[in-house]
Amino acid sequence: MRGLWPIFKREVFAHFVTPLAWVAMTAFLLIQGLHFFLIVQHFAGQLDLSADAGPVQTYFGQTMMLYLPLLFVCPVLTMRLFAEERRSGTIEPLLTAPIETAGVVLGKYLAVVLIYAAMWLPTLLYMLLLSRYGEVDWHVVASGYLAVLAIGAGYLAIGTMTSALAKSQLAAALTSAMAIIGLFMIGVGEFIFPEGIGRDIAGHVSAWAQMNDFSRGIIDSRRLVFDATVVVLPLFITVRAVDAWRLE
Amino acid sequence: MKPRARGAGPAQTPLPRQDRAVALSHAIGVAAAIVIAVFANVLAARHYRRWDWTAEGLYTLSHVTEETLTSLSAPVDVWVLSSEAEPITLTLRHLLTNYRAKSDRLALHFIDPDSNPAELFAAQQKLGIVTGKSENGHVVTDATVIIVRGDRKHYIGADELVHIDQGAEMRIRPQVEKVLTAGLREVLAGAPVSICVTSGHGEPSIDSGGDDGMAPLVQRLTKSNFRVTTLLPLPELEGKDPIAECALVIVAAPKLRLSKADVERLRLQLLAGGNVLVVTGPMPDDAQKGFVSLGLEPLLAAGGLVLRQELVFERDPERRASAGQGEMFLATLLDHPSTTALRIAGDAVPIVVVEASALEPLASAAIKPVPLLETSEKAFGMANVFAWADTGKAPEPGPDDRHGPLQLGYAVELPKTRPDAAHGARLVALSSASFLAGRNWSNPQLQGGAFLVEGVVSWLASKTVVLDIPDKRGRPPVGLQITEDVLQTVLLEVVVALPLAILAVGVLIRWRRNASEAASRKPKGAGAASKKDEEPS
Repeated sequence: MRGLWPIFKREVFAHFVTPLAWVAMTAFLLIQGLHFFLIVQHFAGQLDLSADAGPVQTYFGQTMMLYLPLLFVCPVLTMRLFAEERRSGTIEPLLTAPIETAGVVLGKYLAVVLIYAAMWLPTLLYMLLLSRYGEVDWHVVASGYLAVLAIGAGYLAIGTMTSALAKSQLAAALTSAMAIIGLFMIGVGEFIFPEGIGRDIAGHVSAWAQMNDFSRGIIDSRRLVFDATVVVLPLFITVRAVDAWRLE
Repeated sequence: MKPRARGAGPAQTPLPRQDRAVALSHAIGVAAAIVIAVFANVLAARHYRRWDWTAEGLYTLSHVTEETLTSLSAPVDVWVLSSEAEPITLTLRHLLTNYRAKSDRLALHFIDPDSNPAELFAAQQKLGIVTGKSENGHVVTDATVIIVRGDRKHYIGADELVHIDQGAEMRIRPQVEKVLTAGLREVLAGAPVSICVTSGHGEPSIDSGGDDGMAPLVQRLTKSNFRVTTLLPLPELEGKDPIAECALVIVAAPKLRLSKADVERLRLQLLAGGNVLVVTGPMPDDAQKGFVSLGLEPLLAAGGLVLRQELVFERDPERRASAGQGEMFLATLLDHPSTTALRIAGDAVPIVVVEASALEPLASAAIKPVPLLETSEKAFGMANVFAWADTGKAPEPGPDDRHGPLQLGYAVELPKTRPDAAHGARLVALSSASFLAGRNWSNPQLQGGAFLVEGVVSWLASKTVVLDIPDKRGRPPVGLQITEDVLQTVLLEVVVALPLAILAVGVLIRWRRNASEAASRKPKGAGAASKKDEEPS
């Protein structure tokens, strides 16, 4: 796919040389650190007789603190992808360059996915800390990170789409935050709707339910299909939107 | 789709018709993608798979559960009445979702008694359960899970779902799958199958618990829809002999000699098409000078078997227990329909045997019994145990002793007595009384013996396997061994040190970039200046 690699490199490089990126990462780790510490404090010296509800499961699947950064970090990471290029006018040379639209979109998208994964990477240290003071099932840790990555990949795709559709960074960030929070809130309907199709749909799209599954080490094909849909569909729309600009 | 030409003239203004066509093509493309995405999700929701990544396989269903679920012929409803705040609720939800993935005849209903009192009230009326409030205000019910098929109901309490080993190191063993599958089987089962256990010759009572009692086995069989009763010896019998009603008779490790009449009664039951399980081992007499002759020879001979009067010693260091002289050891399981269920992912469950004799086929018998269990080649059967016991030496095979591999269990099926019978009479003989001991059902290291007995009972009674769901490997209670000081260190590490380290990396990168930018600007400026100087004025 022509253009993917240079665009990917450019985006990753551009991100990591801005001070804002490191400040955001520091803030993210500060929130995650507090989240983790509260969990450690909860389990310190306490015996929970459940066989599968330890600190790892709680970290990945039992508190809102995991989702809050997800809901806001993804729009912030993606808002500048296209909106900023349109504002500053740098989109013109990009669109007239001999590269494929899909290459441009995927290059930018994969770059933010990598940046997102890099933000989570230091949290592996939390798991190492846990293994020092208790038993850690590393398989469950792997499935927890898989879920964080899968859900984040979907949210980042939504952010990429809104960045391509909005005219300013702020509009892109607000739109994607609203879309992501909306999707998240539909999932919360799983606990509100009575038994029936409404609850089934809510349960299917629920990030909470997915984290509950994956944080226990259960990989569910329904969740993976839904995540793949949330990645592919917005990216497809993004490609069409960028194509439309090229044709203008 | 061609790009419109850029440039001056009429081509600069897009043609409205082309515009519409492009917009329409985009809209159709997006609509088609949305439709495909919705269909993919509907399909995925109907046909899904779940993989268990936990190291202990906490959510991996045993083949017995899978077999039970795939054979569901009628709808079964499972109601879970447990608060979302309870950790076991999530465990139940995950496991039952895995059950549901295997059979769409299973309908799951989760009710949180704390947040859905109306649904709880409806369930109370429908299922006949009692509710109350705990000290912390949570609504509790007398049953956490109710399995319903038609008008048959099975109730499971919260205390049945997890077993806690109270040892030096407390360990938790989840029992959720075991009790759920037992409940499913109970509501699915038809009339119970009758099992009669011999008595009156020193056999353990079917009600006796503890390590040596038979109660754990009886409880397991009862949960699998067997009705277990005691078979009195002939002299104590009043009225009609109930043996004809027994689908299976278990000769349960007698310690005293059976009367000829009692043995003949069992032999005739076998020859008439009945099924018999003989569990017996070497039984020293009161004087410790020889083995008690239990008088079972005619019964075993009817199945083409003979029980040796000897004590088996295992000498293979990898198979014998470190304690003792080799009378406690691991036996090798052999292939037979009754032992199939004992293989987990291709590996046989270890079978621990304590004090066994050996069995062998009668040379003159027309039928060929199939061996179930054997020792290693290094084992031997000592005939004169009592003489050796006085020497205090390690056991060594003498000239009269037989060498391994020695067979400790046989199964045999006799020819059909009636043409319409599903199969002929079946006899299984196991040559150690330890197989019936209650400890096999309570100690996970000995559960191979329990599975063997259950598999054999299932084969003899022609039923699907009894509950041979292995216990999950226990784990310590969830919790962290952290002191207040360590907690402070963790706080410093995760809330202060790690974010600051990341910030420092950012500052370093920025500083290096600034430095490299400054360096790249300098030579450029200098170069430009010198070039300017060289230019002619």
